[in-house]
Amino acid sequence: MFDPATGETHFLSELPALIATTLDGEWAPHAELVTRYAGPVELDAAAEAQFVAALTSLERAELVESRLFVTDPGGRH
Amino acid sequence: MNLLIRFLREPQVAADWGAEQWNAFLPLARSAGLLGRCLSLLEQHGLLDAAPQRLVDQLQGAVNQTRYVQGQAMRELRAVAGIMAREKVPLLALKGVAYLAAGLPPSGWRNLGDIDLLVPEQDIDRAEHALLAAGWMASAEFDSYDQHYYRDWMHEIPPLVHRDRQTEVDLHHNLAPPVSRIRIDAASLWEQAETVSDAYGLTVQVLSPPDILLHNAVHLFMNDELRGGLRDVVDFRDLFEHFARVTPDFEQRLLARSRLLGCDRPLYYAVSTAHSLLWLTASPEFLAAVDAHAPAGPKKNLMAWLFEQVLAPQRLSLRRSDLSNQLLFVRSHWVRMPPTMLLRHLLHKLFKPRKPPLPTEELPG
Amino acid sequence: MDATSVPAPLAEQHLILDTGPFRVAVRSSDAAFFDTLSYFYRDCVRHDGPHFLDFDIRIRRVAGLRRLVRPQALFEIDGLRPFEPQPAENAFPSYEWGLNWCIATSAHRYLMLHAGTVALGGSGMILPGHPGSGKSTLSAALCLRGARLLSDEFGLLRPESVELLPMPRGIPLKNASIEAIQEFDSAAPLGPTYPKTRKGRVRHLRPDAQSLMQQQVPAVPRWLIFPKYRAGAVESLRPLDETDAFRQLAYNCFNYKLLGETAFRAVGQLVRQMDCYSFTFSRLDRAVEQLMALAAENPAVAGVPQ
Repeated sequence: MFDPATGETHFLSELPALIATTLDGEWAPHAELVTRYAGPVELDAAAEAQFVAALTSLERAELVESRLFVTDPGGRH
Repeated sequence: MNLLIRFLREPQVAADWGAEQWNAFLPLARSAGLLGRCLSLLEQHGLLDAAPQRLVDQLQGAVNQTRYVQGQAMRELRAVAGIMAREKVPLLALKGVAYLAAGLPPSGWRNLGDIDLLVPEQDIDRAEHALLAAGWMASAEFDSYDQHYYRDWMHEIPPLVHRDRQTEVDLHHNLAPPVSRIRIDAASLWEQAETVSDAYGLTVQVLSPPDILLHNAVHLFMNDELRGGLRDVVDFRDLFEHFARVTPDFEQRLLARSRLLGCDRPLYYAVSTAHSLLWLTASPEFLAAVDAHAPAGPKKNLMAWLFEQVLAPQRLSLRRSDLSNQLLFVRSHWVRMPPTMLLRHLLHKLFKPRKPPLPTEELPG
Repeated sequence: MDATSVPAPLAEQHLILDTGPFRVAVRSSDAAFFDTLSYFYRDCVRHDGPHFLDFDIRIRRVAGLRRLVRPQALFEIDGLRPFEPQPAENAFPSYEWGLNWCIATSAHRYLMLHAGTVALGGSGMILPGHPGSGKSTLSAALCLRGARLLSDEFGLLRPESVELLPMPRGIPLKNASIEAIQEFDSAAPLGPTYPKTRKGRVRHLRPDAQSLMQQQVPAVPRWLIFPKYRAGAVESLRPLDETDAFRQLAYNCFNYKLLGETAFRAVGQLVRQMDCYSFTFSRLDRAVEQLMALAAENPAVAGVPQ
């Protein structure tokens, strides 16, 4: 995968590749992403850990971005 | 007048060139860092067929290289902008990287070695610490004298580079050193600044069009060495002509701004050099108004002669060009610093241990 | 560079030669250097003119700093001197390496691989590898068995068409490779010996007339072979999957990052259209046999000498 923003070429294994090519560009909390990708299947802790690891490796490669959102008293993020 | 200058003034002259002219032209263009500019001029003027295919291939090679450094510069800008946004430090892009971020005409061809950025004076320490904490580091060993020179005299911090990348970041808080005779009111720059963004989420400020030209003028003519400066003169001409086309009353606004910021002398040097060397297009009224700020009498001609020797030498590596560079070197430091400081600085530079020569590169074969 | 120029007692000679896509002028007052140039490239010299030049190179013979230091050869391009002076007797290898530098730093119109490249029929074989992988020696041997020399070190491709461009030059053989080639073919045309270069002992294999004559004819890449010399190993070709091939080819492309997306697409196209292998070998004759056999399997390869 070639990233025009950084000029880097990345070699992705299946799960990170799937995530990188199907994320829709909107911010979403972790939990929601897991359920979106798992679908009707219940994920055990190991599978979820794999998912998180994939997200982390994508972030290190600058292919995805994460941010800490704090809910303020007004209920906004 | 060398072939490169003739071409830059009037590209059509190349329609009649033979092998001899092209052979003389290429090394001049390469040494001036203008290969990309020349390719775009050939394209704009329908001269691609008149030029030898081999020459076009060489120019294309240079442009490929330029696209890469441009991409890396924008990448670095995005990374720094992200940190500054988090720290709530206003950030303004300068020179080459600003032309890219703002999509100005030089983004089609301009090479750049590092990125120049401006932050408010009161935020520069915080900005520096944030970058150091996020993986940037000093780009070389700077002794306490260098630190003093950069921070106290040049108002910038010594260049930084991220540990994973190669693009140098120069963080400034003003455009001209406070010890020089030119004193620019930085607050005024910020007031007039404009915001630009790009497709990858970048948001950054750039100088207003008149300030972009004034910065070019101050940087080129109040600089350590004019060597390599022909590219800056080309930028000045291209940007001036672009802004004059798209902004109403641009010449008046530039004159007013120059007066306000106290940049009339460097503006005179920039305009007169661009006009005499590169046939800058401007109204006679504008040229006369600028000319009013020329230095008196013989100094005016001497400076024009010096600049021409350095910026447009007849052949590369001419000894006269070295002498002119030395005169200009002393002059530009005199402009920057009071005489006592100048002597100390020049002495330090003379006696500082030289960097070892570059090792022979590993070549294929 | 403080070496003073001694006014040459001999007139400076000057010739223009084509080396693949590049046209080079070479000037020097060193007659021995010109003799060697002529031995290798007489067929490439242009006698008509004037010509636009890619590189205008001068090999300047300079006196050493102190009388005890022997004369030196200085490589000059556009008035620049990028390298330390070399002993004058190494003028020819200095010229070759200097020319490589000129190409490597300016020819980014092309995709440039660290690879030996040869052609069999109209099809190209690419042998990427770091110095010491054996690619130059293998390329030399393949050419002695009838393959067309494209390049021993510098695979040049047009990224838009991924065509391989020839640049047939003297193949520098280092140290033990010299003997290996002489053993492989006792009639191999080798140039002078340079006993003390920064790469050790060097001799160059002269490119054959056919390769030089066809230096403007590109080849279509067909086989990608990553050679690895291993003493005592049995010759074996192991197919590579596309991802491994991509990774290794990109690694051996020295302007891969610079060319960005263009390089990404070109390398992708190459690994899809080529048969990709890693190749272990120890004996030159068996290695050449196996590679030629591989090429012969492809019915599209016409006129491959057996």
